[in-house]
Amino acid sequence: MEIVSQTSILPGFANPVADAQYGFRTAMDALARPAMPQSFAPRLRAPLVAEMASVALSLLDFEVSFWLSPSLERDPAVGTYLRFHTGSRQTTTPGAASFAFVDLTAGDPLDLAAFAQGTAEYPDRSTTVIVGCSDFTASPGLMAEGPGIKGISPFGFSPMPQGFQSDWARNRDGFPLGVDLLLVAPGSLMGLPRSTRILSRG
Amino acid sequence: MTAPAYNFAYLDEQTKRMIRRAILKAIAVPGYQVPFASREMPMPYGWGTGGVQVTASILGQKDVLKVIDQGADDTTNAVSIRQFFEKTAGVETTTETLAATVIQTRHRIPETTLQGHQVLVYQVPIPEPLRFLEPRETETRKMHALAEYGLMHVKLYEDIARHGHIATTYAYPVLVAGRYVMDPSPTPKFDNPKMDDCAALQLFGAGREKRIYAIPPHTKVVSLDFEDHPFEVTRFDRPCALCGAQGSYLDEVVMDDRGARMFVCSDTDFCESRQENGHRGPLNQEAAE
Repeated sequence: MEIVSQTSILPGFANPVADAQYGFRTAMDALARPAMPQSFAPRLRAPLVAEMASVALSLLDFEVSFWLSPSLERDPAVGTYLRFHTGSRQTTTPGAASFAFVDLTAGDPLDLAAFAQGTAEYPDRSTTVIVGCSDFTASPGLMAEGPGIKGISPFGFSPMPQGFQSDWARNRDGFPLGVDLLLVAPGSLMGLPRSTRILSRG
Repeated sequence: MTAPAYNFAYLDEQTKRMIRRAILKAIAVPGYQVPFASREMPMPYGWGTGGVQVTASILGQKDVLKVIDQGADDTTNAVSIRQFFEKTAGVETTTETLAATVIQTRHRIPETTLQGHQVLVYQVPIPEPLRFLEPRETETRKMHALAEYGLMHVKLYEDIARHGHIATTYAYPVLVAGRYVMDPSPTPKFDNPKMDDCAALQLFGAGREKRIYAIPPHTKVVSLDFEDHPFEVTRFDRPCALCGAQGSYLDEVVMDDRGARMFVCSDTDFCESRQENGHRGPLNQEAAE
């Protein structure tokens, strides 16, 4: 058994009620308005980026499980921090996780199909993936369309993994099954629910 | 005044997290009913326990809350829920539609067009639109999974066969984002067109039935109908007796025991702000003279 000295774990939310509401509400606004980055500046010192940690502490608890991408898993402080503050179970099977954390800035792959997709009768039993990005500059020619978007909206994030567009198209085609993304970059959060279609123009 | 014995907005944080996760799924799959572990609330089922739990889970200290019941801010249900959140969350409350960031509603959508920063929370008694056609949850779930909604059209067709027109006037089924048939809660069908391409996020909470569902902003919401019997909005043949508004939803008010009655806007904030702006209805003019 792994024994953790409590002093080595960074503190969680300073104000658990208001901070969790802020994390959730930003995520809710982001999912309700896909492809539109919401400003998000949680004050939190954590072994993973503050935006990611805030979403985790807002949504995870003992009822759910989480999965960490290789670069996050390599740092034992990350798993320890999330388990300690949320009581959530860590799993090594992405398909069994309610939440997954993937750090694209560290070069981790984003394999959407590996996560839980939900079932036809319960499409909500899917993985929500929190994705670490460097910024949300719109990619030229990429547009997003779907519920929550008035008309179409420019879309992009970097680093965008190769083949993301076709992976996402497959994810969208499986609607109502599929995974939802909460993308974080310094100072902002962007939602990409399974209902959003990504179009390339030109 | 906040009661220190309660957590902010009454619910404990673990319950809020559970409801928040359900809300996120509901937004991602518009119109799909997400099961959630509804809690007992300090009010009976039917008084909006689902809506209250959704409101409690999204509310922050800076939110401004408005609560309406059949469009009115001053009915028992609206007043008690507003006081509940004043007491347990200490948030600012209002009756002005445009001043509110969160509006909890029972069976109406405000007449004033909602804005992008607002969230409309519906209290829902029976979330399953197919329930009266198919009582088994296992079956309705399968029907939603297969998008098998023929039964609903049969029901509307039977209306036409019996009455000559679609006689459903409230809880009129809608198709959300081209996929799920959804019960818009017992709002009059008059309000159905307001759900389509609405700028505000719409959340639905059913406490007894333990379901949460959502319509994201700017989502296509279509009322089910037939080519030869298109969906029609309720029309009133007279204006509001107090503010003279044409084309708002009217309530019938009995005036005496000799059959006198008047028709007034069900949305009290809409009616009052029109009267403040000098609009007068037929009954109001007589009173002034």
